[in-house]
Amino acid sequence: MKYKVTFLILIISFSFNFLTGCWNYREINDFRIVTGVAIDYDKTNKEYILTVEVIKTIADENEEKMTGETFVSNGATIFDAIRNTITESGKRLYWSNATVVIVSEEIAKRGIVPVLDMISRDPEMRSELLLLISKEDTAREILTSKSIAPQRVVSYSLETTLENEESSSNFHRVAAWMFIKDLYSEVNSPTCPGVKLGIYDETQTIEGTTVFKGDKLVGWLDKNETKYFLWITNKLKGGVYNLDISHKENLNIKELNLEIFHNKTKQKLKLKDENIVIYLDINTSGNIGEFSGNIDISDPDEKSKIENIIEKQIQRDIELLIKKLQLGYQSDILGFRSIVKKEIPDMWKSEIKENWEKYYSELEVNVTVDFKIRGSSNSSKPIIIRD
Amino acid sequence: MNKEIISNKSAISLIVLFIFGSSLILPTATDAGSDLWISILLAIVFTIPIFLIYSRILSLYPNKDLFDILIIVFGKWIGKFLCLLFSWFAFHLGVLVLRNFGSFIITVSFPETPMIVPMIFLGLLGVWVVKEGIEVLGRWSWIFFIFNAPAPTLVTLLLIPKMDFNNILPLFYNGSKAILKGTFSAFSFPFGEVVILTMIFFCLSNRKSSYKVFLSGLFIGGIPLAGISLVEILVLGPDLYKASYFPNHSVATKIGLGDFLQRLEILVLIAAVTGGFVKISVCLMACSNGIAKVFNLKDYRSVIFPMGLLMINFSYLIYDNVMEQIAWADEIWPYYAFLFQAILPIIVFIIAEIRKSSKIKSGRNSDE
Repeated sequence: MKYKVTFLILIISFSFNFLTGCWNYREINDFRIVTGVAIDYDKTNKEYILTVEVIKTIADENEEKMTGETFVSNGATIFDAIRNTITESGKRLYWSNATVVIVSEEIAKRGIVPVLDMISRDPEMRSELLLLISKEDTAREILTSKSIAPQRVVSYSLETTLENEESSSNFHRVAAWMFIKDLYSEVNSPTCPGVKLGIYDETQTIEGTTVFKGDKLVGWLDKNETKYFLWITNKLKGGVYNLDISHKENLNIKELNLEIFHNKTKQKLKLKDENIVIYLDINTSGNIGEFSGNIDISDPDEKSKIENIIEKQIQRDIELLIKKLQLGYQSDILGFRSIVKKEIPDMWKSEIKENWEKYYSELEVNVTVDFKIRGSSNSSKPIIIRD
Repeated sequence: MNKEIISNKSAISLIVLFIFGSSLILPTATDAGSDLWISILLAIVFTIPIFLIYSRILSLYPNKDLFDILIIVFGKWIGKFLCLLFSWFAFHLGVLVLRNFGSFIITVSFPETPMIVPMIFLGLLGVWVVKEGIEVLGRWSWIFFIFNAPAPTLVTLLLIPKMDFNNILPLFYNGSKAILKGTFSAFSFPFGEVVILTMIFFCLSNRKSSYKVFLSGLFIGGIPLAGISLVEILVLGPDLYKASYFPNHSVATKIGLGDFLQRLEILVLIAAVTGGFVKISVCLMACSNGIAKVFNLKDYRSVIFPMGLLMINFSYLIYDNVMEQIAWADEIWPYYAFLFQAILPIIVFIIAEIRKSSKIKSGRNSDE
């Protein structure tokens, strides 16, 4: 018995020494933690340029600060460029904590698949990485720009902005795997948000949505159109909607701004003598965020009048966006194909799938909007000027 | 003879973990596309009669396993030949599972570790637990059954925000033929593989318990499996599901609840590795048992170690790469396995029934 116990203790103490950690462990100071990456393409040298942001800690007198530090490397392929970062940074890069990938517009126009392939194939990179397309000349500019305080790491501040999509609705965040999923799917076209440098300061602004056809970028939606895009696809969660009413001079309204609380869009499909008609039934409620003019909103009649104006405006803008996508970009990022496939699978399989481009350009879309003003924040009446 | 007895509880958890084993990491029924969860449910229905046959065979000869029954039913020579075939099947399945786990672990977590390292550890642990006997394995699997049960539930709940019902609509999009094809492959992997357990269930507590063990094992293991597949399709969509080698793992990487609940794929990994460990051990036990029966050894324990080492070696050499492995699992395995999972058991069942009833007619003098 005694012999057994001693033997057991011996084994355990041996295990403590030899069975700790993994096969090839790496100390944390042996590598650099990547937070984000920007990918550009150099046409003249035909190579990819990779800008990698890594965490750098600075020990101050009383606190330890975290900032970003960028390295540049190049290579014939992206994987090659990644490995070449060693010569720049001196240490191996650790990719599992990376949060954003910024791709230059040029790569997106040539086809974004090489970037996505690297993300989905490499086990060290998480497919949760958020995709961004740079609206500036290069993607590198974004990562090397000044970062928004308090987060001094550009990638992290981009990530935080992307996570607050609900309150602005100027963009729609997309993780790399979702983008890949949409590329794979026969009924969806991928989108992803754009990023540019601000006009008044040098920090990053995320707004707008890309329009992809296949894996190639064909155009952009601006931030208002992004809102309509979210409206149609039932992804709108909130945000501020600015009504353009300057052309209606007889209304006594100078400015009207809405804060959206809740939205529900129902997408339906009906066949009208062999023609496919898609019905979008939009139900939205919101607050009046800003208002100046000469209308008493506490009066129910006036309120419903304003609601009417808002509904008409939203409907017109949504129809405009649909026409633009149908005839201009000819890209179905709104996912009308998935409605067709869901509602009339037999017809989709036998006929529409092959000739979708033709069907899409002739597709009739019927938009009905129901907007409810739920309140007007703190003031019941507009500020009236009586000199 | 062996005096080992395992409770129904441990036997059921053995079956559940056996079903979960590699189906928690590998895709199944991919032919059915977005309807694969229907395929799995259908496969459960089609598996019920097969499992009833397994249980009937075992309950006809209590305290005997499939190998004993083969020798009793078919006589010495044919019986022993069939024993050899079934031991080969158990051995081969063990090899495949070991290989799957080796490549799974090195693909998702340790890309620079040689594949043989996790396989040696899993294999040697399997040898150890099989040497300790089926009672230990049964109790172990009961503990890990309870331990693992929350993981799929938690993963499912946390993935709800990422689900998109457009991924499974329209139902029956690929047609009934694709669904049936998926059903067939879901039967061969993982449900039909439970035939291995008939080779070691000489130890059930009473005559009737085989029915209870097999059927409740099927439902407790199968329905969550269909649920998990449904979750995978809802999150990934059928195309991405097909494109990834290990869909369940890649679905778990998508969990992100704020900044604190992330990277829960390790839960899936633990559940899969424990299930795979049970599967490997059961296969090892079954093939050692079969070899022992063929060569009239007193105890199967003497061949466990060589069989285990052979298994590790063989699994290292069997494929060149993961592409070959998936192609084999998709294209050849269902047909190859169907022989052992359905055809041979049905023949055994028919002949055993005939023998039993003729014995009863001629008087119960020589029974038992």
